[in-house]
Amino acid sequence: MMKTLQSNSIDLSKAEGSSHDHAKKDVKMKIKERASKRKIYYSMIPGILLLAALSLFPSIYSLWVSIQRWNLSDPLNRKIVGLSNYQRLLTDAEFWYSLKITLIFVVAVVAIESVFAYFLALLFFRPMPFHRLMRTLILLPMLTAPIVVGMLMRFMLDPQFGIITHLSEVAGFGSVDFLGTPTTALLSLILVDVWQWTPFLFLIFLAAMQGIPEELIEAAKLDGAKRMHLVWHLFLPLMKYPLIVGITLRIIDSFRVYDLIYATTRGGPINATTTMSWSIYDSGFKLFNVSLASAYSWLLLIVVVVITSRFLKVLARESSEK
Amino acid sequence: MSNRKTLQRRDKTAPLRFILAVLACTFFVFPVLWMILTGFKTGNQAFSNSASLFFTPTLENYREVFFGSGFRSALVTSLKAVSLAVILTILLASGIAYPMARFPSKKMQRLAGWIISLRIVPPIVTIIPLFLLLRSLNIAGTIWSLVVVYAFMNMPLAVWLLRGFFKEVPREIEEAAQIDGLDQFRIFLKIVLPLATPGIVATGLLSFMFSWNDFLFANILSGATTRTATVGLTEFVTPVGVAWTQIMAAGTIVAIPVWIAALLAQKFLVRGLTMGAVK
Repeated sequence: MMKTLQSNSIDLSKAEGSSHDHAKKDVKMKIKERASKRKIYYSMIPGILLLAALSLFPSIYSLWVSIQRWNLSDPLNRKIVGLSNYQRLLTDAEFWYSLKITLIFVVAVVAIESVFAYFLALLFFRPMPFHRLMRTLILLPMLTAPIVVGMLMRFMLDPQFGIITHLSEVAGFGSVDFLGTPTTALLSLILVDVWQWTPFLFLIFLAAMQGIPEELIEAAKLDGAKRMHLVWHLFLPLMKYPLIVGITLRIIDSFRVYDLIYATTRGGPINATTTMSWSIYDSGFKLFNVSLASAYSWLLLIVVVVITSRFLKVLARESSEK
Repeated sequence: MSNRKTLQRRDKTAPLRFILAVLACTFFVFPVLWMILTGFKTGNQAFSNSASLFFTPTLENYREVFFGSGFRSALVTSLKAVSLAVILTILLASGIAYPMARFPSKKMQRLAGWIISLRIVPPIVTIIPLFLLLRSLNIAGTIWSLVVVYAFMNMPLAVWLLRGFFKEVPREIEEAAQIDGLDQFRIFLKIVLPLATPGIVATGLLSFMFSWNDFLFANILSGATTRTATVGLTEFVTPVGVAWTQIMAAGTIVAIPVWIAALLAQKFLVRGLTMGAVK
């Protein structure tokens, strides 16, 4: 459809260009264009206002709250205390523990998902029977709300009647309370996340792989390249950009994990799955210590920015070139 | 195309690939299938140890979910809040994206960079000050707080996607219209908008998917009468017990609109999920 339109348009502009007096028209048009161009910039204002209002205001306000002592359950006792919330967090073993849990979670899910998705994409690179159907079905986990997935997994992992527990019994691993045991809870959440989000990277990697020009693969094969060689030395470099984009988005999003924890472990058992996001929620909305939670969110933001900013620069640069 | 075919003929690994693909597919689909099936089971069937794929289905859970609980009104709330948010997102985002696509400059680039950087901020960071503000403005608990927050949440994605779609509208058409004396606003309405419709619809569908699936904002910002579907789902967990079969039915209901939206936006899914970076 786009193609026919494009050819039409070229005809149009040619016809117009040849039948009019150029010089006069040009000057007039420039003036008109500049005026209407300025007008079109006005359309940006409402959107930018919304973005500014909901990003600048919360950050400034959150900074302001973070230097106070303010508990919603004890509002009269509110006062400015400087950096003591930050100090309290940075000297608190619980904080460093949460940071560790978060980093384990993020690194584990992103690493497993990337490798898994890459192999899946290789599997689906060439057509096979039911190719489209299977590819579409694989996307289902990612398209299901994380809170729904969380509830579903809690149901399937239930120590009494969960189907996965049942299967683990049949397989001879015995009846394990996956989410209720400190040693398996985090691992279970990691695997659930892998189940839900591998399809996301799979979809991106597959699209990238299929975008590799067939001639390049053909040429490499004629040069006698082995399959493994192709996969490592041809595909990977050519897919570098989509790989970076996909993985960056996964890093950003795995730092957010909240719904899944809310539905399953709520940070427990004990504190085996207390990620930073969960800690913030806990101190802000359960203990009502909004000032501590604000300080905490700044620390989380710093961690996320430090880890993702380099990737994001690549992302912004490359996609603006297109 | 013929290249692909000859390659395929030479491929001896095809049967093995097919088996592995079926296994992978089963791995990803089984839990979803389990959820759908459990939604049609009675409590006894769901909790029996001989967990089976074959049983006499019942619609009891769906009846309970729709008529015996607050879930139906939660669905309506979700539908309202999310559609309003999608409309607002598309309006505001096209307002930004069109000049960005048409008059690129260093400033525009910086603006686009700032907008995409908002995508990094974890929502838990935004939610606390936002909650405090909305509470003092007395609009926490209304549908409008959700509409505004969802529109905000979708903006980076929508601006970046729409900018790409607007850029793809051939410049020549716009120039021709300019010569015909249309001003920039009319050119946008009459020429760019119709041509970019598939892209705009896709952007709307993706925004719909992300806001519909949200739980964090809804859980904190929605009041007793404005529970969204994702929050309503968790209300089947009561101190007395967990109504698992109903949760699975409700979960299926929550999931289906997004599955449909994804199917409709299939062609643009990769592009949408990567903020337009991978096409």
